[in-house]
Amino acid sequence: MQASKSVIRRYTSPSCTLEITAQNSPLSRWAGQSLFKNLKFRLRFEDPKQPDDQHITLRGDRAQLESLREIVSDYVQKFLQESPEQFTIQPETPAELNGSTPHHKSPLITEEFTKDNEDEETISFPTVAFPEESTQIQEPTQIQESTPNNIVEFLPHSYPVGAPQGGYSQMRLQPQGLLIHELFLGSLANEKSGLVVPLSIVQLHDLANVLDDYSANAESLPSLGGGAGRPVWMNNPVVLGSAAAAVLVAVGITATALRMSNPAEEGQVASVDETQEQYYGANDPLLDVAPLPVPSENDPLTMPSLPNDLEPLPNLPTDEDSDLADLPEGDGVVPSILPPSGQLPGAGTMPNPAVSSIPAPTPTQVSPLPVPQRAQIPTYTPPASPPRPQVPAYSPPPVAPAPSPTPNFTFPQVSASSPSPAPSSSAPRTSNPPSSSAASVPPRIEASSSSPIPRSNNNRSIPTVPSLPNLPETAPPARPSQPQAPIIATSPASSGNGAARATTSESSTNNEMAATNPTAHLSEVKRYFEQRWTPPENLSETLEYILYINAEGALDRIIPVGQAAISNISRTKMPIPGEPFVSGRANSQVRLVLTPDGKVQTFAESR
Amino acid sequence: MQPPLKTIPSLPQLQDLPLSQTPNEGQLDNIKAHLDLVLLALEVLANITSEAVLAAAAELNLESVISDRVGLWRLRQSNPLRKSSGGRKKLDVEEARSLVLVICHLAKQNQDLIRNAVSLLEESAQKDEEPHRTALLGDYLDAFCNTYQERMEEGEAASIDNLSQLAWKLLIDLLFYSASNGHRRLWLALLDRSR
Repeated sequence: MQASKSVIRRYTSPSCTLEITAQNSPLSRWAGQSLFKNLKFRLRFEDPKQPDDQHITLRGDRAQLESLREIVSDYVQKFLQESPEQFTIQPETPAELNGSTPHHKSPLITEEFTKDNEDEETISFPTVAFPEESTQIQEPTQIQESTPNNIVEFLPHSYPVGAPQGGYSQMRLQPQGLLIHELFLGSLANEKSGLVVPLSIVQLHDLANVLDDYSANAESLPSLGGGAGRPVWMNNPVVLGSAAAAVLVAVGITATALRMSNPAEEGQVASVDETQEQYYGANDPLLDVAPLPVPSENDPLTMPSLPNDLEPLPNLPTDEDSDLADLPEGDGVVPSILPPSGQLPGAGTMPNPAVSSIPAPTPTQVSPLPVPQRAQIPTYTPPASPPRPQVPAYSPPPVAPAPSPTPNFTFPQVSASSPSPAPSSSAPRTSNPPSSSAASVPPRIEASSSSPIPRSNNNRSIPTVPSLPNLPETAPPARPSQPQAPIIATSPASSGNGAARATTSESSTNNEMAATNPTAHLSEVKRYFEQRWTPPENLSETLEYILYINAEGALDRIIPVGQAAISNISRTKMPIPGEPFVSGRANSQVRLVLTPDGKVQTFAESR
Repeated sequence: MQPPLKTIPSLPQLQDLPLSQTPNEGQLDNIKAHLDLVLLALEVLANITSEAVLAAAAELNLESVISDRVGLWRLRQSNPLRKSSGGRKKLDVEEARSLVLVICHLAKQNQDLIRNAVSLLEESAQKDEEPHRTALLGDYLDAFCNTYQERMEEGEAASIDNLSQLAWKLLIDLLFYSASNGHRRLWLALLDRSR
């Protein structure tokens, strides 16, 4: 189903390998060249002296790769510009690094090695200081003692005691004399790498080369899918959480308002846009229902009305060839929505994409992706997706219970601009036919909600945002009402399924059967995944998920169990929440186990 | 269209070396001096002769700039730090750029050697040994010091320590210059140094 194919590129050097995985963007046909999106990279340091399992691997998205490339390139350039004297300041041993002594003099332009230099006592670099000539060096032995550990080997947890200049949060390079250059990983740090990776000259050289090679071949879209240039605030889960909540509320409320003002109105996309825009400035949108502006614009493609804030959203659906079933691997969008692990950036960030893209109320610069570009491309639903009222993709009720300890992937989707039923890839979701009826649903839902604001939509619920686009297809109520369903339904936090699910005109006739026959239901779920589960090559762990399936046979919620499950959810081809994929069975809770060797197991869990 | 996995760049061109503004004389002096040094390091490490330099120039279609041994000698003599450099041909920007291309081309040809040397340097440091105890590095250092002292005006005055430091730094620099975009790196480094 995937229209865009994945591309893998590998840049090798003796001591490290850079592997790029990306998807061909459909924009390529207009750009006249291959354009990539959802780029992810894997950088593996291969020190032949180290056993394989100690090799450090870094993973990240395009933004991180670009940062790394720039940092390394600038650093190398600076290194080359400087005279040997610049490296004479004794590099402290790791234990002494405290930022008090400059590690590296600011580069003086002493282009020439003149005789004046011989007066300087500090001429020499400690790491190569010879014992008998170390008169000028005070700490050569200390440095040398630490050198063996630092030069070639990668210490798994090598971080200097005390904060070096600049701290650990930023990605940067810092010299330790002439031969060691510490790479502070910043957001790329993971458990194995530690916060700092000491690089030898050769390793630094190889790293610079692979990054330069990548750069020479880089054809990625600036920020369409990858988040290059994504503002830092977008990486803040709290901010994003608030933003997501704000958007959800905006969407829901707007939809409600629209419904009330014009039930037949289909141009809700634009209105949602307006609403969202308004909410961007809100500090506490959750409670701010009143100011809901009545959308005036009916142009679904009023992308320009969407501030750049929403640019990242496109990632949600990925692109026009969004394939619902094909959960995008690329994340690149939300590297840090899930704080738990440094690995997350590259993994299982599906729900996040939308989130990350949701601009927080804080007016910050959003990814530079030209909105107009999208506007020109009708097939680019992404921009419109968020605003779509139908989007709701919220897993109708379960959203509320979101505050579960594990990241709650209510909707993997991300991709789909046009989820299942309505292949209206170019048209705004609003036009989805399936959700015809349910005009009554919204009102009912509204009434039933105690608080229209998904307060419970904390960070966890953010992931639901992306699902918005998919809601339309949600089996439950008619689309238009969908948006509110989640919002409103969430509050009860109860299975709240009632409102959302009620009167679904699309109940599967199999519901009855499945409802009465749990085994058959389990089998269906198992069969569904058996047909789709393709374990990734490098997967070594079993993935486990708890699926909440509703009476319509659609997923209400997906709870990944364990880090591996989180990281690999995009590979599991989870059905789109809200989209029936098996016979319905009320309150069905299934534990799904996917093994690396391709087996699928399902177990019934009791609620 | 699927681009190749790794694009092999064509021979570096002069156009690869941008020049936003012409360096003034002082800057040019710095550039010349540094180029001379880099070439010196490469020469002594890889035993590069003038012929090799000229051959490289020919491969890069730079014969118009570096045509013969005499011309080459002159270019290098233009380094103000050289003994008796006065009155010699002054290096202009085009010549500087050509030299950059030639040097990096030669470095690339000797990439393995350079990489080995740097690795040895790292290992020596790791083992707490003097690098010049290694044959390759020892020869390099000796040749570097000798040649430097021979050629440079202030050569004799330079201490061995200082020269050693310089030699190692240049060796490491050469590693970076031997990469495929090494010429750009060298050029930028020259321009920045000259400021």
